[in-house]
Amino acid sequence: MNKENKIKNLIGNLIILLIIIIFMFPLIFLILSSFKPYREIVSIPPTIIPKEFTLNNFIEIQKKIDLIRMTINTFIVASLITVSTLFLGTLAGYAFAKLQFKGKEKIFVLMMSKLMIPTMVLVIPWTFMMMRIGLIDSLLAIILPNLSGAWTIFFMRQYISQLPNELFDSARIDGAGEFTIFLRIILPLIKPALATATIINFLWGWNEFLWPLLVLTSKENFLLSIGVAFIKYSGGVMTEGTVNYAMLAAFSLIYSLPILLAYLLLARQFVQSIVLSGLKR
Amino acid sequence: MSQKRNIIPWLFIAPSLAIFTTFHFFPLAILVYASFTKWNLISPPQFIGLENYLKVISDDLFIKSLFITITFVFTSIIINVILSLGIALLTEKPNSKLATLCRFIIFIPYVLPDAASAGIWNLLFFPHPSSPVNVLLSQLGIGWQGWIEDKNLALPTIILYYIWKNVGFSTLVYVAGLKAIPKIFYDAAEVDGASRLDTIKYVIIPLLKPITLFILITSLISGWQSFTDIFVLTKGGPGTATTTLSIYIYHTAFGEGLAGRAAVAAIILFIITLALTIIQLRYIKSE
Amino acid sequence: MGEKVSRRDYLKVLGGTVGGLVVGAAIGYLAAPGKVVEKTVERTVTQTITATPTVTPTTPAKKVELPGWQWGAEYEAVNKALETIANEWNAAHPEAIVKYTIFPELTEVEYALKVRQAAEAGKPPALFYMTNTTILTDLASDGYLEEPPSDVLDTVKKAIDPAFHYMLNMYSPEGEVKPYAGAVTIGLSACALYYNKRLFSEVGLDPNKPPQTWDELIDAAKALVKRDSTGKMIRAGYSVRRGGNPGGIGEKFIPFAVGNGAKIIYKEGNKWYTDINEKPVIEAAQFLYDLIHVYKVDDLEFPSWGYDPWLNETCAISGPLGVGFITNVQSSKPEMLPYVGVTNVPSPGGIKTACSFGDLNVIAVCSKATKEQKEKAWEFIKFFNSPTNIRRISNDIWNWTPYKDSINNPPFSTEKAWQELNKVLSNVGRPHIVNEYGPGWLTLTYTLGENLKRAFTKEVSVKEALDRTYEKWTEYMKTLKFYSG
Repeated sequence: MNKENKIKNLIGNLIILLIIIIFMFPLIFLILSSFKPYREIVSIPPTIIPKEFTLNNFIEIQKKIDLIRMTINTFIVASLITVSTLFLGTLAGYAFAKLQFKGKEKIFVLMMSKLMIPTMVLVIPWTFMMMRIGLIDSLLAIILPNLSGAWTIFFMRQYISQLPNELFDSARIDGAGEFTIFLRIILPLIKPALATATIINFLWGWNEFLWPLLVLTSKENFLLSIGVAFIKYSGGVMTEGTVNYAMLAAFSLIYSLPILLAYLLLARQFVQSIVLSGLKR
Repeated sequence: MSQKRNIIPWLFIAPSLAIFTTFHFFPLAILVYASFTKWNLISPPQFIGLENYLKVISDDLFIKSLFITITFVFTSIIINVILSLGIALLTEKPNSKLATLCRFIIFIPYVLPDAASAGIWNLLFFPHPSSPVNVLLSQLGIGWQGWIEDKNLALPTIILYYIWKNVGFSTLVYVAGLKAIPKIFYDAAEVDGASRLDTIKYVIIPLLKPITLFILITSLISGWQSFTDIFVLTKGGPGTATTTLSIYIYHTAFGEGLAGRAAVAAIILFIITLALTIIQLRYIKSE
Repeated sequence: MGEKVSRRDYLKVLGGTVGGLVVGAAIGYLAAPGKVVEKTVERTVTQTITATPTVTPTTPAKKVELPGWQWGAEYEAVNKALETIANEWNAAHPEAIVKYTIFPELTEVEYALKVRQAAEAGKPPALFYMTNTTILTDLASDGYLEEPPSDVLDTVKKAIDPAFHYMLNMYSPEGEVKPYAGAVTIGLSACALYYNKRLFSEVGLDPNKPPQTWDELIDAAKALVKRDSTGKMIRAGYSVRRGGNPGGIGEKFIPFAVGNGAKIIYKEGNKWYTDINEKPVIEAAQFLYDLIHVYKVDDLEFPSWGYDPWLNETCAISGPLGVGFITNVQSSKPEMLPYVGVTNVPSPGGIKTACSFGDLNVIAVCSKATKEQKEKAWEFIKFFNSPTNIRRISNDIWNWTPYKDSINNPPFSTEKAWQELNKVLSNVGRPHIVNEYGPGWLTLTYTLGENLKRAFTKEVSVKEALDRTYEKWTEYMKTLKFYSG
C-alpha cells in the first residue's frame, strides 16, 4: 500500500514538474530571446541561450519608438485611472453600502449594467465624440472614460456593507459629517479592499489596447500595449511579411516587467485580488 | 435636516454617475442610432432604416465570425476547465512546496498584459523551423508548421493560447473551492471505502459544480469580448480564419468605414454579453 | 449646529471631487502632447491680444510643429536616411520641427480613416512623410492633399527622370490629374518578377531565359517546386501574394490583369469605369488561383511570400515586387546578389508588361493643416529635394528611386541586378504601365486584395470576389462629384 502511494506520489510530482517546465519555458525563452540578435532566432539550428548576447534590440526600440516615453505614458495612464477610480468608486461604494437615499437600488443596478457593455461596443461612438471635442491623440482621451469603475463600486459596496453600522452611528451622533466619516473612519478600515482595487485597476489600465490603438496618433503618446502591435506588424528589419521576433521579445519583456515584478513581490495579494474580482479585463 | 442629508449621498455617487452616463450610456444610445444609419464617422450619418441589419445578418463573414468565436470560446473553456480541475486536484496536497510553486507559475500568463502574452505566443509559434514549437515537432519527427499563418492551424493556436493564459485563474479558483469542501465529505467517502477516483467523480465534482459554472460563465463573458490577444496574434487570421466577432466589428468600422453596420454587429455582441451576464447573476442569486 | 455641519459636508465633498478632477485633468493635460498646452496658451494669448484692438501684435518667429505621418515599407536604411534628413532640418529650423510617426499596425484603409478622423478633430498631420501613394490617391480626390507650389514642383521635377514625372500625379476633387507629391522616397513597386538563377540552373532551366508567358511560368514553377518524402512542400516554385496588407495584395495582382488586357480604371466620355469584374481580370485571378490549387506551385499553408523565403531559397520566383527587393538582398544577404534574376511579369501573349506604380512612396502635404504649417512643410520638402538629401535617400543606401542621379550612377549603373531591372523597366511601354492610378485606387486595390485573399482560400468564388470589388469601388466613386461628369 505504501509503495503504491509512493509511486503515485512520484508520478504526481513528475507531472507537476512537467507542468512547471512547460509554463516556465515561455518566460525563460522570452527573457533569453530579448538579448539575441534577430538572425540568431531564425538560425538553423536555433539556440536557447544566446550565442551572441546583445542589447541591440532594446536600443533599436528606444531609437525607433522611444521606449522610455512609452513606459512613462503607460504608467501615467494606469496610475491616473487607478487613483481616480479608487477615489470615485469608493465614494460611490460607500454611499450604496451605508447611506440611504431614494432609488438607491435602482441606481445601483443601472450602474452595474455598465459592466455588461463591452468596450468594443463603445469605441465607435467614443471615436466620434473625441473627434468632436478635439481630444484625439491625447492621453486624456484614454483616461476620461475610465475615471470611475463599476467593478470598484460593486466591490467597495460589498466590502463596506460588512462593516458594523455602530461605527458610523456613534460618529453621526457626535455630529460628524458624512465626508468626515468617510475619510476618518471608513478609509482606514478598508485598506485591504483598497489594495485589491488598486491592483485590479492598475492591471486594467496597464492593459488598455483597443481604445489607445484608435485614438492615439503621435509617437510621443503611444503606450506600451500598442507598441507590441507596432513591432509585430512593422517588419523591423525587413518588410514584406517578416517580423523581427527578437525585438518583439525584448518589447514584450519590458511591457511585462513591472507586472511580473509586482507579482513576484506581492504574489498573495495579486492572487487574492484577481480571484476575488472574478472578472478578466 | 433629513432633506439636507439626502443630498450628500447623491454627491457621493454623482461623479461616477456622470462619467457612466457620458461615456457609457450616452455612447450606447449613439450606437443604437448609428445602427440605422450609413456612417463613416466623418461625414454626418444618413438614416437608412433597417438596411444595416439586413446586410449584416446576410453577411457570410458575420455568420462566420460568430461560428469562429463560439468555436474558440467553447473549446478553450471546456479544455481549460478539465485541465485546471486536474491540476487543482493534483496540487491540493497542502505541504508540497512543489505544488505551491506550480500554482504560482501557471498563474503568471494570466497576470501578464494581453499584448505581451500574445507577443510571447508569437515568439513560440512563429512560422519558421527555428521556433521552439517547431523544433519540438522536428524532434518528434513531424515537419514544421506555419501555425498562425496556416489557415487550418491558426484557430487551434489561438485556442491553445487561451488555455495557456487562463488555466492559472481557473486552477486557483478550483483550489479555493477544494479547500472549502468540508472534511466530512472526505471522511464519509473513506468510510464507504471509495477509491480516490470514485471520490473525485462522485463527491468532489458535484460539490464543485457552482465553481465550475462560475468559471464557465466568467470565461464565456470575457472570451466573447476578447480583442487584444487576437489582434496581436493574427489580426483576423490568414484570410479570415480567425476573424472573431470583435475583429469583425473593428474591421467593419475602421477598416471598411461602415460604422453603421459595425454598430449592428456591436449591438449583437452586447446582447450576447448581456444574456450571459444575466444568466450569471441569476445563477449567483439562486445560490 | 446640525445645519452648519451639513453645509460643511457639502462643501467638503464638492471641493474634494472638484479638486480631484482638476488635479487629474492637470496631470492629464501634461500627459497630452505638448502642443495642446501650447495651442491653448496660444489661443488664450491671441484672444487677449485681439480683444484689445489698440495692440498690434508683432508676429515673432511663430513656432510650428510639423507632424509627419509615415505609412509604408519599413526599410531600415530608408528610415535612417529619413531620420537623418529630418534631424538636420530640425537642428537648423527649431521653429518648425518635423515630428514623425509610423503606423505599421494599420492597414491602408485604417490609416486613411485615421487621417480623416484626425483632420475632423482638428489635429491633422502636416506632412505625409513617406506614405504609399495607393493611400494618397483617395485622400487626394477627397481633398486632403495640398497642391505643391510651382517652385517646389520645379525642384522635384528637375531631379526626377521625365519619364517618371507622371508618378507625382493624382486626382483632384474635381477629377483633374494634378501633381500632389513633393518628393519621392521609395520608387516603384510590383514591377518585376525576381527569380533565383542558381535554382534555375539546378533544375535544368536556362537562367537567362525566364518565363515570359503564363504557360512558361507554370512550367518553370512546377520544375522548381520541391517536396519532401511525405509530399509536404519545402520550396515553392512561385509565390502568390495572399497575406499582409490587403492593398498590397491588390497591387501585386494588377500587373497580371493588365498583362491580360485589362484597363483597371478608365474614363470614357465623362464617366469613369472599371473592368475589374470582366473577363481579362477574371482570367488573371483564375490563373493565380490555379497556380495554387491546380498546378500546385505554391501551398497556402507554406509561408512562401515575402522577402525572406526568396532569401532562404524556400521560394524560387517571387513577385511582382518592387525595386526594394534588390535593396533588401544587398542589405541582408549580399552573397545572393549574383543569383538575382529580374524579368517582367509574364502575360499570356508574352507582352512586356509590368508595373503597378501604386506603391510609390512619396512626401506630400495635408491640406487640412494650418497655413503656417503648410508653408513650412513646403520649405522642408524643398530642403528634402536638395542634391545631398536626394543622394542620401537613393544612391547612398542602394535605394532605387526615379531620381535621375540614382538611375545613372553606381551602384545602379554597375551592379548586374540593377541593370537587369533597368532593362525590364525600359522594355515595358505604355499603355502597359498602369499610370495615374485612377481615382478610387485605394478602395479598388484594398477591396480587391481583401476579396482575392478569400478567393484563394476558397471562401468565395473568383467571380464573386471581383464582383464585390466592383461594387465597393462604384460605391466610393459615387461620393466623388466628378464620377459622372
